[in-house]
Amino acid sequence: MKFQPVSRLRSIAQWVAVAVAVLVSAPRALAAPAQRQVQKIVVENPRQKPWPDEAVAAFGRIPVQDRGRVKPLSTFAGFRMLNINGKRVYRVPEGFELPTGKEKLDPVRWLLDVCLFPEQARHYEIFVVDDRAVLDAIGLQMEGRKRRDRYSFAQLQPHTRKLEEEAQKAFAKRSREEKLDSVESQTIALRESIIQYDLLESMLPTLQTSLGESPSERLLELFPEGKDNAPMPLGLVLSRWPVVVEWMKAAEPSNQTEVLKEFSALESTINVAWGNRQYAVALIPPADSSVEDWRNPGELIDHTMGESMTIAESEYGLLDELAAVWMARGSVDDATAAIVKAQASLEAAATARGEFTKASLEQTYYKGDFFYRALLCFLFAFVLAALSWTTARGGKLGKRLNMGVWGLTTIGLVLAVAGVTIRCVLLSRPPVATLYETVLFITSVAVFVCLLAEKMTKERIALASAAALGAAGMFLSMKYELVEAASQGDTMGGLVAVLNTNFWLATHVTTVTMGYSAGLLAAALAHVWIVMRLFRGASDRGQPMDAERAGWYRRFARMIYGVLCFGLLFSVVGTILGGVWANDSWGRFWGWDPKENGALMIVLFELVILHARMGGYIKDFGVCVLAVMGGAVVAFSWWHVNQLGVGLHSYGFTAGVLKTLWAYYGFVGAFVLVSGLGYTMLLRPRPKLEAA
Amino acid sequence: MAKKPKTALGKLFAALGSFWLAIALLVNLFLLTWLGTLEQVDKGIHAVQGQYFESWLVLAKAGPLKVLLPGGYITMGLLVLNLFIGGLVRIRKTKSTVGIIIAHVGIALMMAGGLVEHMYSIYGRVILYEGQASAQFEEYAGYEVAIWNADTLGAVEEFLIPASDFAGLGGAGSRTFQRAELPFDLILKRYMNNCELKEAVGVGVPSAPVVDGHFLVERPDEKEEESNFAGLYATVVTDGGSTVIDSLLFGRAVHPWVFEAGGKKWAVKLRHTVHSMPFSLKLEKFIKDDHPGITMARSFSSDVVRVDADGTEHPLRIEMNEPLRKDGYIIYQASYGPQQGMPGRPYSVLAVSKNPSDRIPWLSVAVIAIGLTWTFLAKLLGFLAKQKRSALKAAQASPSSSEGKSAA
Repeated sequence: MKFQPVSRLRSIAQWVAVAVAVLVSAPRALAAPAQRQVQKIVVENPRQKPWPDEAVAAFGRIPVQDRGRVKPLSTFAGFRMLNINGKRVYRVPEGFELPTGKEKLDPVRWLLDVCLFPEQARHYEIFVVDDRAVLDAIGLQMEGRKRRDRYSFAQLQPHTRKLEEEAQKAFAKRSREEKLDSVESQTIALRESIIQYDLLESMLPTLQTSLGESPSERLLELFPEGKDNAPMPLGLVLSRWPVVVEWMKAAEPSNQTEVLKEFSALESTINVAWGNRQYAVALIPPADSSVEDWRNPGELIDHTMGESMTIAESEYGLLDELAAVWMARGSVDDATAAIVKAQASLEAAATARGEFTKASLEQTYYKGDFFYRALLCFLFAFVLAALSWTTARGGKLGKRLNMGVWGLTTIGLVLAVAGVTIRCVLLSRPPVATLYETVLFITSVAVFVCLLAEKMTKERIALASAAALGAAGMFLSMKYELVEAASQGDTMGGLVAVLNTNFWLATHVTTVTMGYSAGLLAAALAHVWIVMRLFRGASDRGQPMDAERAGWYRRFARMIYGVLCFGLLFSVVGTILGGVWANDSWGRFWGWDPKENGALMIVLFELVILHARMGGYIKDFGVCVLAVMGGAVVAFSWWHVNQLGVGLHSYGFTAGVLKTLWAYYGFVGAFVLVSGLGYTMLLRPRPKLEAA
Repeated sequence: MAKKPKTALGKLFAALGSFWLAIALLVNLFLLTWLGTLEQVDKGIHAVQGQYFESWLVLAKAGPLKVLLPGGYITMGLLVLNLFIGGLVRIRKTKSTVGIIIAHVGIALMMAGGLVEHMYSIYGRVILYEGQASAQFEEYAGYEVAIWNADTLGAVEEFLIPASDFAGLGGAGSRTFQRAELPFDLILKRYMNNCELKEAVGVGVPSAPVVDGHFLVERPDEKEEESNFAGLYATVVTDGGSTVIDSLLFGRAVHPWVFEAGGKKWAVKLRHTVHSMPFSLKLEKFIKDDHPGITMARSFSSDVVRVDADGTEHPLRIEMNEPLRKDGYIIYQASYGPQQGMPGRPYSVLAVSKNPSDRIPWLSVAVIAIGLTWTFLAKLLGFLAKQKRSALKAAQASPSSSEGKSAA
C-alpha cells in the first residue's frame, strides 16, 4: 500500500480539526452581545428615520485634512470610531425605544448622529473600557457590567472632572519617567477618547452664532440677518468682521470694555471654535492653492480677527454651507439636502486644488475591508485543511477539500495583495513604511511563498501553513490597526523625513521584510515538522521509519531549509542596503543602532544554521529546532528593538507589544525544550545491547 | 573540504578555516550583537560599541549574569581568517560552490571596506547659521588643544596638541609641551573625558584645584558620546620659570583662555578636533517642510553655496537622503535648530564624513546578491529535479499498485 504520512495521524488531525472549529467559533460566541438590561432613553428630538444612503454617501465624501493628508470624512469617522469604540460599528439596541428602533450604525451614520443628533448619540455605549478599575477610580459604578465593557458619553460625562484628575496624576507620573500601570494608561486613553468625542460633537454647532437678546443698533445694522436673536452662520459674521475691527480701532481706550461687551453674545460661540483651533479637523480648503494647510473654523476666526491672513470670500462661503447642515438639524430630510449641497461645494474646492482625487479609491478600500475578508478566507481555508487531514489523500473528498483550501487561500492572498496595492496607489509609495504595513506585506509574501512551495512539493503542509500564517497575519494587522488608530489616528499618516524616499523604501525595506517573511515562514513550517516528527516517533516506538516515509520528512525539511536560504538572501541584501541607506542619510554605514543590529542578528542566525548543516553538525531535526528559534530572532528584530527607546528607529515604538513578545519568546523556549526532550526520548538513536 | 592535513601548520590552517570555527564565531558575534543591543538601553550606543565591538574581551551582561566573551576584535579578526581560509582557499571549487565563493568574496570585500573605514575615515559636523560660511568641520567627540597668537587678526597659525598626547593624563599624570615658536611651556594634567564646571562656593573641600573660583568635577560618561564634555588643567610657565599661570580648560567653554607671554597675548582652547575641507559652505537658507496641518517634518534641507578653492560658487541643496559629495567629502543634512517653538536664529547642522570606502558597500551588496542568488537557484533547481524524479518513480510504480488493487 502506498505510504501516506498524514493519514496515519488521522486521530491527531481529528483533534486538531475539532480544536480549529472551536477556535473559529469561539470569538463569535465570545463576541456575542451579553444579555444586559437596556433602558428606554429620553431624548427631546430623536432622529425620526434612518439616514438615507444619499446623506451617508455625501457626508462620508466630505473632504477633510487630517494627520497630514486630505481624506474623505468616512475615513476620519472610521478611525475616530475605531479608537473610541474598538470597532467600526455600533448597534443601537431596541430597548432604547427610539423611533428608528434597532439599528446598525457604521462610522458615517454614527458621526452624523454625533453631529446632528448629539443628544441621542450621547446615549450610545461606544466608549470601550478594558478594565473596570478605571471607572472605579472615577466613581462610576454600574451594575451588571463586565470587566471590559462599553459606556456612553452620558454615563461618563458626570465623572469627567474626576477622570481629568486621575489622568493628570498619570501624566505627572509619566513626566517623572515612571512606568504607568495598565489602569493609568487606560485612564489617559479614556480621557483622550472623551476629548475626541467632544471635538466631534462641537464640529458643526460652533459654525453658528447669534447677536444675543439685545444687540446694539449698529450691530443689527451690520447683521440684519441676526434680528430677534436668529442664528447666523459663522462665515457670514467673519466676512463682515473688518467693520467690527474698525469700530474697535475707533473706540476710545476708556470705552474699550463697553465695545467688547457689545460683541460678547456674538463671540460666545465663536470662542469655542477658536479654543478648539489646535485640535479641530480642518474642513476648509484654502482658495490659494499655494497654501497647503487647510483651515478649521477656529483658524479662520484666528486669521480673520487677528488680521494675520487674507481669507477669500469663497472660504467663508464653504463655512456657511457647513453651518447650513447644522442649522438643518432635527430633520433628516433637510439635513440630507444641506449635506449634499455642502459636500458638492467642498469637493469642488478640494479638486480645484488638485487634491482629493483618490477619494473614491480610498472609500473603496475601506468599504472593501480587504484584510478582514482575507482573514475569513484564510480561516476557512485552514478549517478545510484540517478536515482534509482526516481524509485519505488520494480520495475524492480529500481532493475536493484540497482544492477548496487552494481556492480560499488564493482568494485570501488576492484580497490581501489588492489591499496592499490600493494602499500603494493611495499613498504613492511602497507598502512598507510603517509597522502596520510590514505586517500586511510580510503576511502576503509568506502566504505567496507557501503557495509556491506547495506547488513544488504538493505535500499539503505548505498549503495549510499558508492558510494559518495568512489568518495569523491578518488578525495581527487588525489588532495593530487598533493600536495605530489610538496613537496615530490613521494608518496612512505622514512619514518622518528620513522615510520619505521611495527608492529606499522599495529596495531596503522591501527586501529586509521579505527576509522577515521567510524567517517566520521557516519557523512556522519547522513547528509543524517537529510536532509531526515527534508524534511519528512516538507511534513508531523506536522502530526506524521506512524509506518512503523518511524521504517525505527529508523533503519537508529540505523545503524548510530552502525557505531559510531564501530568507538569508533577502536578509543579507536588505541589511547591507540598509547600511547603504544609512550612509546616504546619516553619514555612516553601520552605527550599531538596535534596528541594524536586529537585522544583522537574523543574518548571523541563519548563517549559523546553514553552516552547521553544511558542516554536518546538525541534521533535519536540528535545522528545524534552530528555525523555530529563528522565529524569535525575527520577532526581536521586527518589533522588540523598536521598544528599547535607543537609536534612530524610535518612530516604530508601540506601547503594549513587549508582553506579547515575551509570551512568544516563552513559547519558543518551551517548544525548543520539549522538542529536545522529545528527541532524546523518542528519536535519538540508541546503541543496541549485545546479548551476553 | 580539502584533504586532511598532517603537519601542525596544516592542522592550524585547517582549524582556522573550519566550519566549527565559523559557527563558533558567528554564534559569538550573534551573542555580542544581541547582548550589546540590550545593554544599549542602560549604557547608550557608543559605550556599548566600545565595550562589545571595539574590544578584545567583553564581560557581557546576560540578564543577572555576566559572561566573558571574545570581543569584536578577536571575533572579527578570526572571522576574516576563517572566511579567507575556509571560504575562499580551502573550499571545494565545484559548480555547486561557485555561488558560495562569490558570496564570500562579497563579504570579504565588505569587511575590507569596513577596515578601511575604521582606519581612515573621519566623521564630524559643521553648524552653520543662515548667512554663515565655513570650510572646517569638527569631530563629534575627539578633542584637541589649540594654541594661537590672540593678537593676530585674520588667518592665524595654530599649534595643535592631539588628544592622544593628553588623553592618558588622568590622576596625577602631567605632560609638558614646548615649541620653539612659543615663549612658554604648557603643562597639561588631570584630563577628564566628561566633567562639569563648578563654582567653589559652599561645596566644602573641592575635589580638584580651584582656578578663579571654579573647579572641574569628573562625571561618568554619558550614553551619547557627543554629550561628554572633556576638561583639563593647564599651567603656563614663562620667563624662565619665574611666571607660572594656572588655568582650567573646559570643553564646553565658548571662549579660549587668554594670557600674556613674551609680550604677546596667547589663546589656548580645548575643543573638538577641527578638520579643513578643500571648499567652503555658506548656508543661504534652512528649510523644514512639514506635512500639511501637522508639525511633523516631511523633509529637511539646506540651501548652500559651495565655494571651491578657485573661488567658483555653486548654489546647491543638501537634503535628507541626498547628501553632497565632493573631493572625497560627503555632507549630509543631520539636524537643525532652534528646535520646535524655541526662539533664535535658524541654523543647520550638516554632518561631514571622509570615508575612502564610501562606495564599497554598493559593490559588495551586488557581489553577495549574485552569489546568494546563484546558490539559492542552484539549490531550488536541484530540489525541483529531485521532486520530478520522485514523481516519475511514483508514476512508474503506481500502475502496478493500482493493478494490484483492482486485482484485490
